[in-house]
Amino acid sequence: MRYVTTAAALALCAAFTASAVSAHTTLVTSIPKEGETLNASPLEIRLTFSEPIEPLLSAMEVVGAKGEGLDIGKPMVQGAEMAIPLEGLLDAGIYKVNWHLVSMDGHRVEGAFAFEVAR
Amino acid sequence: MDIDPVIVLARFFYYGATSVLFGSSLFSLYAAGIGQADTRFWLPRDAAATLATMALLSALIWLAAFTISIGNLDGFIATLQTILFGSSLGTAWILRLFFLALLFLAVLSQHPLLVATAAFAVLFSEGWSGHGASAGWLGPTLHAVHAVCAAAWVGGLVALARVIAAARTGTMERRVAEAILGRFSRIGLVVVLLLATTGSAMAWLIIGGMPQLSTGYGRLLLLKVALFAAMAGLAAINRLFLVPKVASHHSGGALNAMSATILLEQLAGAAVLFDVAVLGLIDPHAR
Repeated sequence: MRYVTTAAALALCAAFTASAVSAHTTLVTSIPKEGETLNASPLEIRLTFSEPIEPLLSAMEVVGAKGEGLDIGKPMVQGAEMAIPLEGLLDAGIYKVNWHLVSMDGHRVEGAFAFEVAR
Repeated sequence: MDIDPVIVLARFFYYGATSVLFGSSLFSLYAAGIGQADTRFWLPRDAAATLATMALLSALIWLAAFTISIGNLDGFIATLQTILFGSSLGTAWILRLFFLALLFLAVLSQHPLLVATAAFAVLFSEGWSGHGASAGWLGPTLHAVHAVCAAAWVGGLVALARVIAAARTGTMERRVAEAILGRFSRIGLVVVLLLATTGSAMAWLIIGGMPQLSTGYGRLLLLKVALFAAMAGLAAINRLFLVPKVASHHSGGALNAMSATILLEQLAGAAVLFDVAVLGLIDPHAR
């Protein structure tokens, strides 16, 4: 019993001195930013998350104002970042980025944001 | 985030089946060396095989539903292959399925120590999935110990009810029943302490403080704590007031009362498992 109590006390101390895990991954920042109006087409779309994500289980797509999907291929994922170069420049218009990911602890998270290219 | 009810139910049956197999197998070990106590595996072969099958099927359904929920790759099989062999989740899933297959074989052998070992492996491997799995060594260790302790208690309640029933009908000597109940109670004290400690530590690690009623996660966690407290209270009533009377000549009332309190504990335990089946899927910080 003494060992159990000691182990329990150590576990509590370790947990209370550790920083909290983020538990579910969130989008920290993006290029372009949500709601941003650009004067020219972005060269890439880059999303930065709060923690590393599963490279092969995470993806994004870009759709135009009419809901048509753009053929942009598969994004590159490294650590907590997902990026995709835009080989063809975007025409003027409103675009929506739909992303989804699986975090390292197995949770699926999804989100979306829009930006505008005004030329 | 939407909660997939198929995944919730699969997780509930998976936790329930593995817990009952683990907790029941421990009773054979509690009974070891006590007079004429039966140290064979406490669940009938068919019931145990059904539970082992349920655990394996539930895990497969859970994996399939999770694969479908990702749904962004080139078909179900390709996504499944990526999960198992191309992601950090693969090792945990492969180990889980491997240990479940071992558990099924152990159940067929009806050897309690083999069942306990295989079920322990299944439960301990739970540490490497869910919230906190990415929190270094501490999160998985706390989760693994928490899962094993919860199963020892909640699953043990099924075998406990069988002990009480055997004592009531006279198929088990009441002094033997009292000795087994005494051992379960002593183990239970350690289990409750470890559950409270690992649970508090995990909550701190995952949400960084006390659970709040303003979040869905906080409400479910507080409900779980309330159910845990109710179970601990019922266990204390059994330990302090009812178990000492089991071996007496007038133990009928105590056994009847214990049947009722154990049924209540079982219901609360099932509610805890369902709570956990949902809790592990939702964002701790979402309002």
